[in-house]
Formats: sequence, C-alpha cells, structure tokens
Amino acid sequence: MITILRVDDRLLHGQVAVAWTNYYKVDVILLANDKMITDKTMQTAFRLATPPGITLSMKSLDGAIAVINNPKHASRRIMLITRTMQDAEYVCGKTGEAVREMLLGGLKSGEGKKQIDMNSYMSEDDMAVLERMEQKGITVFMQADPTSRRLDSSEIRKNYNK
Amino acid sequence: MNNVVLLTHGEFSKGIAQSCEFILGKVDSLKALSISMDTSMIQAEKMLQETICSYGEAPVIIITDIAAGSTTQAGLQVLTRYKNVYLVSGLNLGLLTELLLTELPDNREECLKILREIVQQARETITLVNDLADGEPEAELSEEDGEL
Repeated sequence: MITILRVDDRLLHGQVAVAWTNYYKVDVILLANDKMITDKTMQTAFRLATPPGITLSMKSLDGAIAVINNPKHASRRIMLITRTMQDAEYVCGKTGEAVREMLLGGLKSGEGKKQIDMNSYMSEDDMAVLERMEQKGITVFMQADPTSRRLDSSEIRKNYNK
Repeated sequence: MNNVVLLTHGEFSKGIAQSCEFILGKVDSLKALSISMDTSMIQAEKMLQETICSYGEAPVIIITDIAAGSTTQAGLQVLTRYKNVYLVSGLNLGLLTELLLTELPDNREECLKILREIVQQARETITLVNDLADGEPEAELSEEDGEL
C-alpha cells in the first residue's frame, strides 16, 4: 500500500529519508522519476540517502505504476516520491485509489511560481493539479518536516492567492 | 523521541544539535554539553550528572565525540552510577538521528540489544563514496515488471 505520496523537488534527502520515513513507519521508498533511471550519480546519491532497514526502489513513472498495481506489495508500507505535482498526477491517474494522502514540500521556486511556505513555491498549473487531486478524494497538504506546521489545502490556496 | 545528551570537545555538540534540528525539526529531549581546555574531569562528570538527573528515571543516552577522549572517560564514570544510562561514542549525524528516533523498550537487556544494532548500522554508513560512484556499471534498472 502507498502510505504517503511525497512531492519533493529533491526526491530523497535528509528530512525525507530520516524524519518522514520514521513518522510514517514506511519500509519501502519508491522513487518515481524518468530522469533518475538513466542517471547513475542520482542513483548513487539516493542509495546513500536510504536509511538502514528500508528498501529503496527506483523506477520510471510507468515502472512505479507497475509496482503500485502489483498486489504482491499490498502489505508493504510504501512512501512514493515524485519530483513534481504533474508526475504525481500521472501516477495517481493510473493507480486507481492507491494514493490517499499527498504531502507537498521542497517545491522549488521558478518562473511564475508563488511562495506558499518557507521552502515551497507553486505555479498556476500546480494549483490546478491540487484541485483535481482533491476531486479524486486525495487529501493534499504541505509540511517540511513532522514538527513544522502543516498547511492544509485551504491554507495553500490562501497563500497562493495572497 | 529518546533523551539524548551530547558531550564533546568544544562546540561540536551545539553545532550538530542544530544540524539535527534541520532534519527533525525541534527536539526538546536533546541536550548539548561541551568541555573546554580548562574543564576538569570532575566538572565534566558533574555537568553530565546534573543533566542526567534532569530527565528523572527515564532512559538517557549519552553520546560522546571520540572514544579515546576525556568526554568518553567522563561518560564512563557516570555510566557506572545509573541503571538508566547508556553511553555511545563516535558522534555523527546519522547515528544521532537514529538514537533519537528508535523507540527503546524499558527492559535494559532489550534496550542494549537495539543500541548494539544501531551502532553497527551507523558504522556501516561510513562510506568511501568514490567506490560507489566509480564501481562497475550497475545492471539496468529493471523496468515495468512491478518488482521493487
């Protein structure tokens, strides 16, 4: 099962690897990213970042979809991580109701993006994805680490429209 | 989170405590102590003892910076006086986060067993990264077979 979907521009790093995996008691980190599967340096970095006792699985978006749809992994507690809202939507679109919660954090700034939280920025298209995810019944929220403040979707919207 | 006291030469303890909060957010159960050039062994022990007592009867893990240092010697003196105190040397950030986050049982034997595992795992994280990056090319990441 997918315990949590994290959207994070850096995919796997200290806060995610240590704090969030512990918080959600996951035993698998499933990274879904098309660039990573041909980039050996990224792969080495993510292997180093994986805490002991946790299985790391690095897949393309379609590869991750195949993992999620494989009933064999139903008893595993999986943290799925994508780099963007759009990748997250693509995966959720092909995995039925596997994802129920979507945790945003570390969304980097860029052209046309607005600041939502200390380290996270979202575009108009990101906001549209958020709407569609909520319509699918997925709870969307933003939080950097487990002890920082959690912004629910209404606060994300409010900060975007400021 | 577990009660952890750091004892180091100089400000290392305060620096790594700050690094740790970068990853975990605020950690109230973590305390950072330092010895300086003119701290006596007696003073170091007293400082440790006062901090341990502030946690009451709950288990406390002391982490020191180097096994062969007076920080560890001070820890060793204190260790023998309490049933609820554990001492680990070789402070690093991965070790610290594991020691804070791993739930410890009340039973002392079981507690020691878990601490032994954490220490072993932490040892394995010290890596010559060149060897990983320059090693044999990895097999193609298996694609859409649905396996992890």
